[in-house]
Amino acid sequence: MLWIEKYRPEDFEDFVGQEHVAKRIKAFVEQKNIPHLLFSGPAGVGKSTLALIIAKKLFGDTWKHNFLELNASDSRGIDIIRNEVKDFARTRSLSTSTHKIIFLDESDALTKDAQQALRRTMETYSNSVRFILSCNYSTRIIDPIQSRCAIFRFKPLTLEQVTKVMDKIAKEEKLKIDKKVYGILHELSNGDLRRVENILQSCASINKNITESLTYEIVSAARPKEVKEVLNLAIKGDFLTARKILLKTMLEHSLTGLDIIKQIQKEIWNLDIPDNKKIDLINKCGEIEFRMVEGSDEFIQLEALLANFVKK
Amino acid sequence: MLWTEKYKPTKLNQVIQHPVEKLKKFVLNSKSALLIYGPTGIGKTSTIYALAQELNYELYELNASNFRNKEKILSLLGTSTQQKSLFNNGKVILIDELEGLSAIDRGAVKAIIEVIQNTSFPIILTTTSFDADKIEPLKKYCQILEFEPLTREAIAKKLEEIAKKEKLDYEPSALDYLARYSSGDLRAAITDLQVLSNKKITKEAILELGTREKTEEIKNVLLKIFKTKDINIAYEAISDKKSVVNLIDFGKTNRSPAVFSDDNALIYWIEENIPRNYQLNELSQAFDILSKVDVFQRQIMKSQHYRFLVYIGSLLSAGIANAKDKKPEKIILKKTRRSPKQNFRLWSLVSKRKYLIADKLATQTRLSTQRNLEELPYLKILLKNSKELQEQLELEKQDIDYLNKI
Repeated sequence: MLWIEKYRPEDFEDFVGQEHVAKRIKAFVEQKNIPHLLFSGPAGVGKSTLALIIAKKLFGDTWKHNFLELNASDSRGIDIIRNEVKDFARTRSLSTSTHKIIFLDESDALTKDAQQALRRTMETYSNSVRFILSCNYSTRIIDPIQSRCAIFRFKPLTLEQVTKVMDKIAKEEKLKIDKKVYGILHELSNGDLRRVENILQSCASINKNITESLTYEIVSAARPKEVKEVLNLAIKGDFLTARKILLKTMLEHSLTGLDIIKQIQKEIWNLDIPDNKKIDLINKCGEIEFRMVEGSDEFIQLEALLANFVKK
Repeated sequence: MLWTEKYKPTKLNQVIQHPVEKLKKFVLNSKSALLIYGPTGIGKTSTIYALAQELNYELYELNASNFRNKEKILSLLGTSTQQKSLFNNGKVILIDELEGLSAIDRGAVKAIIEVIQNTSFPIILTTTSFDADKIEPLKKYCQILEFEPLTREAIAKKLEEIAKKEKLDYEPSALDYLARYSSGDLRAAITDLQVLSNKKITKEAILELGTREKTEEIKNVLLKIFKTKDINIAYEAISDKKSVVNLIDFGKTNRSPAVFSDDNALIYWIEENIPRNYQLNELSQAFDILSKVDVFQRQIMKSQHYRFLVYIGSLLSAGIANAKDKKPEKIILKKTRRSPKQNFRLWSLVSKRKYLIADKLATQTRLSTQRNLEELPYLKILLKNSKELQEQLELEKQDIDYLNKI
């Protein structure tokens, strides 16, 4: 089983991080009266988990009947969402007098028009249903929805919080984790607990003794190492080989131009070149990414970027 | 839908001009190899498809560009040339586009020969370059069949048939002109017809479309641009031949190169050959120009603002010529190997697999397929190692193969 599911907390007591949010949400739940909620924040910091805890606490054993989970980026279009919402909202909650809950994940994936439709849906069913929306950026949610919701901002987890969770897992799974690994994972994941647990589980599938080098091994395996090779070849002046490997990598891993440029931009910092050249290349990276969005042929754009690594 | 697909022959009697009887006889009676050669777009592959369909044979198709090394070929071909058809019908094996065989792998040709010598089914190979060195050793082991360029009349007739079915508004003489202009390439003619189909089809409209390149002419244009630093000479090279060389890929109607796509546009030829002739700063300057041209290319498709072509023309000729520091002593030109269409096909194949796995992950996590796609790189080692998860996610062999590869 994936640890991100196995170790998903079921109680406010086990929930780590976002103390300020959790405290207020807990008060809502205790009064059995929650408003529409908007959870905004980066990935892997507990938005879905908190929504689930709300449902479990409000409805107990019947939570599954009273909680509808939708994903805005998977459920194609607002019509599907509307229909599902309609079916779900038609009946009132069985067990208690409280409202049923619809959790709409990644709601910033909805277009402006779809959000307008969602707003109407929220109004229509406000007698029987409460919405919990989650998003990465609340600015992408239209004002009329924002104004109907209590907004909560979630923050990346701190090192202490990540450590706490890792220690708990280590105890359950009988892992031995090197001291340095905590810091490394916290930094690499930018406080995204899901990423931390995924990397940790990948490490553990190789060795229960989790060392610094094992961690780095897993993380670097996650990115095709060829990009670095391509850049170094270009710097050495072997453009033809560089582009051949680049094309092959893109095809074999089915990477898009944007996937590649993202990684090039990260890789530039680690290259063995003078600082002013690095700045120049980062600048170029941005320019090419812009043209890639405006242009039609990602590979020509990547070649143009690569040619700048050859330049003296 | 692409008309080239829509109007593909489904029966042998719909195939025009080619020696289908010989082909049929070979498939019915032989357990050896047949090499079909002929120029591009005349229906080599689609004839074989029509034949398989008519005989109700299973067709096992492989593209030679997938043959990276000997092991790969033997694994791709070895079993299929021995195994009976799944449905107990006959089977024919098609190795398409032999010219795409990478030259580095000398083992490749040897491996194909080995397969031919041991096959229990007819194998058909196709190529457009009969004289290429790399396929020379193969010829001894194959029967050989030539497919000739289609006649003007044959193409015109086919175009008229399509035009009627699609209820197009056309001048009959224009179709004839289109047919001549395609030099025997039916696929090109049908593609052009579809491109022209939104307006009345006239001779003028065809002229506007720009003639399909001829390799030699493109090479001449390229030579002039690469040789000179004089922007006037360079510009003349393209303005002279404006009607025969496509500057950009007019097929790029959207971001997906799967449709249309003109693999022979000048922009791709320049792209292919810049690094062979330009060094260091020349290289980056020349590619900077190409990158701008590509942005114009997209904006033309998006806004139909064809005036951008003026800048594209100047940049691709004078701009590229002027990007070099000094006149070169020697010019190296290679035919463009780039095929956006083919690359896209390969790319989507892998991409589909990735999505399938992410989909399966989505059933076990509270995450969208998209999010799972982002997490997949961090989970691949885990998924490879954990039999328990493989079972829980119902990963299939192909999924695990993919995970092992990346």
